[in-house]
Amino acid sequence: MSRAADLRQAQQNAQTTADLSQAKLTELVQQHSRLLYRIAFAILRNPSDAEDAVQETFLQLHNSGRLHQLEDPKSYLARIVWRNAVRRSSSRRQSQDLPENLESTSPSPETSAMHQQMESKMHSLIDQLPEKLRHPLALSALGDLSQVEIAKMLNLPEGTIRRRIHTARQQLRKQWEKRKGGKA
Amino acid sequence: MNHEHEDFDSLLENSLQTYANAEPRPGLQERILARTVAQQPALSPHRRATPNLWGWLAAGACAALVAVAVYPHFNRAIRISARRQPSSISSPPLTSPAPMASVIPALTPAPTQKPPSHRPAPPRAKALPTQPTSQEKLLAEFLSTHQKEALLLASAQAHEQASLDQPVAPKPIASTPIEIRPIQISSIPGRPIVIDPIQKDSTQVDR
Repeated sequence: MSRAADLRQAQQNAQTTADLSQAKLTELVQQHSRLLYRIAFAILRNPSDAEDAVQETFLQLHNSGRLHQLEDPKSYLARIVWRNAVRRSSSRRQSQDLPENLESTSPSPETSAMHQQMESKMHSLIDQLPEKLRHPLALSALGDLSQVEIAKMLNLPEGTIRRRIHTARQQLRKQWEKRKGGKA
Repeated sequence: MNHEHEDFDSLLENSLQTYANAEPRPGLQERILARTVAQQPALSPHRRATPNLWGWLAAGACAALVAVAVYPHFNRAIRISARRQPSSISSPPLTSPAPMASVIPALTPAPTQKPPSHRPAPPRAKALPTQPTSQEKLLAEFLSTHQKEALLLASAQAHEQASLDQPVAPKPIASTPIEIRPIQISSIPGRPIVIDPIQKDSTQVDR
């Protein structure tokens, strides 16, 4: 009799824990899924790959059983999704094509075609950057992560992040001018 | 030059802005949650109880194995300890005077040596009573009052025991020779047996 009661109690506890975990997971997904998608997209440049990386991240978190132990879920999840995205990008080199859902910020329809062409060239230049420069630059462009958070994510000092972002910009400028000079 | 710098900066900012403006397809959150729920193991009382049950079963099996492995050693140790018990411990304490002590073992029934059994021996404290029994008290009283009779009884018992202990010499068996008489066959009185010849029945032949 007491064993049956223990079983019922254990089942109730397990159900309660599962419900709490699911509620916590839902909360984290609602809060951070967009940011994680942007991080993954900044690395992978492919929407479906980025979505897969985000799903994999939340699955890892769910299976790790550390849902309730996270002190800084944002940094933790950002680090995990970045790792997943880097692993995916190294295993599958994405094409140089621009993704379909990139929004153009061109001011007028007349110059849209020209701007798109120039942005495409810029994107190809960004993609040609070495990863150690490209990742800090792309992550800083998201606007949702401070340089401290990026430094924590990449496990690097904050000064190194700042320097790499600056170096990335300089290299892009050089490449851009070289390409323009070559065309001229 | 400055115009070119501004152009480059704005172009780079616009390009990088695409990362910040990237939006997932609608329903990403639902897809994530559905995938986690799909991969979550089903919670049922049987599933939850199974590890505990198996744990208890494994513990019981281990305990049984240990008991089976230990039992022969334990049994042998009991036998050895039973063999090592000195015989003086098993005899009751004596309250009689010292000269008569040698007589008492002959008058008291000899302790029977039990064959070693599989059961553990009872505690020794119970085997050695601290107080003499009523028979022992009577015996001690008899010894103290009738020493001569006791000595006679003891000597008679010892003599009888000695005669019993002596090996019995084989006595020759008085045997008379066996006489076998010849068999006498006498004729049986009476009429001699006549065997008639077999006669055929004609009716049976016709059939």
